[in-house]
Amino acid sequence: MFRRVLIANRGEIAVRVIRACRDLGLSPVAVHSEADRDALPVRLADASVCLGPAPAAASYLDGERVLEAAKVLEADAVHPGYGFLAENADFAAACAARGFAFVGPSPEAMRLMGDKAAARAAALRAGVPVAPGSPVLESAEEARAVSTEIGFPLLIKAAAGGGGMGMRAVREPEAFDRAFADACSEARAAFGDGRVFLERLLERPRHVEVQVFGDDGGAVVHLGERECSIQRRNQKLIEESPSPAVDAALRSELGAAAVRLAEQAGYAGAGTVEFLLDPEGRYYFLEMNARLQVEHPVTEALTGLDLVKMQLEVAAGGALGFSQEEVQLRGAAIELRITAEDPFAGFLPASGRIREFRAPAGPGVRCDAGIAGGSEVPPDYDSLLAKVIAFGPDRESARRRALRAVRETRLVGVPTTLPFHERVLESGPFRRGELDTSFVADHWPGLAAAPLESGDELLPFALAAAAAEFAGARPPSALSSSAPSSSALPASPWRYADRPGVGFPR
Amino acid sequence: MRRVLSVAGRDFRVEVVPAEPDRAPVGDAVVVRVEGIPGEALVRPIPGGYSVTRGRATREAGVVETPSGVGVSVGGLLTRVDRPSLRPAGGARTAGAGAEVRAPMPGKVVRVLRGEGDPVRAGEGVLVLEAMKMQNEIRSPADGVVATMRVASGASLAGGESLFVVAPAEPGPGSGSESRSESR
Repeated sequence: MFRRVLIANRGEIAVRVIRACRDLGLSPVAVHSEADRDALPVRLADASVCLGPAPAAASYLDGERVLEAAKVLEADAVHPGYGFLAENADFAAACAARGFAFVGPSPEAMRLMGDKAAARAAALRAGVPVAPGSPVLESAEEARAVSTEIGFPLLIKAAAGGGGMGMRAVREPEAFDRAFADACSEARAAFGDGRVFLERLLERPRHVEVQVFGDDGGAVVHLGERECSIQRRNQKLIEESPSPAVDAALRSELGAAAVRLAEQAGYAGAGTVEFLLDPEGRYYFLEMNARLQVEHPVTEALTGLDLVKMQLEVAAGGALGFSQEEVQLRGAAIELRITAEDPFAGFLPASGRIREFRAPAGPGVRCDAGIAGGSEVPPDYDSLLAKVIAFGPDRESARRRALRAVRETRLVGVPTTLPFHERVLESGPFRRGELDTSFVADHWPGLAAAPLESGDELLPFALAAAAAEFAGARPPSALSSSAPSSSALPASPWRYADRPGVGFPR
Repeated sequence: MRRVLSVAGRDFRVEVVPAEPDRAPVGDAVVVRVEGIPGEALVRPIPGGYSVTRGRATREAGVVETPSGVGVSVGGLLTRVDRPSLRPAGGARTAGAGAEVRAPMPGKVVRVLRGEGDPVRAGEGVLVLEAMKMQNEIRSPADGVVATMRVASGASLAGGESLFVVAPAEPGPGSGSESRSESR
């Protein structure tokens, strides 16, 4: 086993990896940017090194600096978390070349899955269904010919893209030529790789993914599915397991397909095979994420496993130690992503200072947070602040616990998705499990505009607090006096939808 | 101390007194009465805001400053309360030459989708601002034409800067609907 693990990440996932290290008796060490000098992971780690200025390119994405830090801090392994360098095969190879174990799959498996066109070909070889589509296209003429075969609407996808980036929907043949040219040049600009391919666009699919785990001995198991259909901008907001649309038969079929693909890729460690599921129950391979997922705690809740601990054990050469038959999935879990975004203003991201944070707790509730009261939320990074995972014997128990957790959470200072979660959890479509990737577009505008039932009752409380504030009743506490908060805030003001009927009579 | 607080254009007369006589209301509990609302509230400062008791119910209120006053969150209710002295004269957003749109956050202009003189419809994207790794389309608040475009692609913004102005369109021909491909 390792002695000291460098965590090449920030925020909640850095805290998550620190916890796994502690649970294994390993020493966790951190890296941070100038903007994150006093961030929670830095405080929790045994030691840390500053990588550079706030922009990720000069800090968390600078693999050379991360490796220097690993040397300075005498780490023997590097855990990349998710995002940043997590799916960078060159970085994984550089770790190995410098004598650090990289906690993740091999650079070869990462390269294969990082190239969307190659991953699609691997899925075909492994007998995993893919949406009707094409290999990488060489010319506009060829693309046009293939597009009429596939039919519209279709997607032009960048081979080097991922996570919703580098995709372009084309709905009619007349728009194809221009969209194709744009997609190629965009892919070249964004990824330094202009290769694209085509895939039929499925309307209103569910996003269902399967967690897989492999070891160096070639053993691969799947740990059930997660449904992640509730998304905005192709990024997930709510994930749950089991999927309301997946029964035991479909689960073992999806799981077997995911395992075949992972075996085909020689995959070790934690990975996720994403599928689109259509209303008829047909499923199509979307992509494989060669890393830990944000939503891994959902699977941990159902399996009782610690996936990050397992990642470290497998990276140290350990065997998985259990078979598919021994995997038991119990109960239901729902994860809510608490992000610094204003759900009433198009999920606009915000930055600022967290004045106060109280995490939810109690039976069946887990909170993985990367922040504490007083934390700064810099504008330079992803807006995820914390994840709340609720679990129970069935979906309805998990839903009620999630709602309880949302209402117990206190997070003051930046707008968050908490009101979004409260309203979605209470909505009819969510209760009935009627989910697809259009959920936010279809239902959120109505849910956001609906008057809050308790609004009239709560308004007098809000007025009293505002009156006290204007009268100067708040003490000059550590949180409000150390920074000129009122002048620092306008860059990221709370934005309120002056929507009708939110509690106050008109 | 008596004040008038404004919530979404509606005024409330409030009175704030120390909860305990002979003590300044700073850092201590105050009692707040609102004209037209029965009862009174005992308000105690806590980190991030106040604990507010009315009758037998106590609720936590989170308070943050906004450019025009404070934002208060109680339960799922978000309320913006204007500072009386800063209350705008009214209708400033769309008054005069047109509707001005400001940068809602710090970020970088990655693309300008509409130039000066281009027709736009309410809700149509005018430019794309990247912040926190996400591209956000800044949309037109009204139907009209882009009267002024104050930023160019590549510009770095601190937040709050004027981006563009949309003026009411001159009546006339012109479809204004171009084909637009989604890039998601």
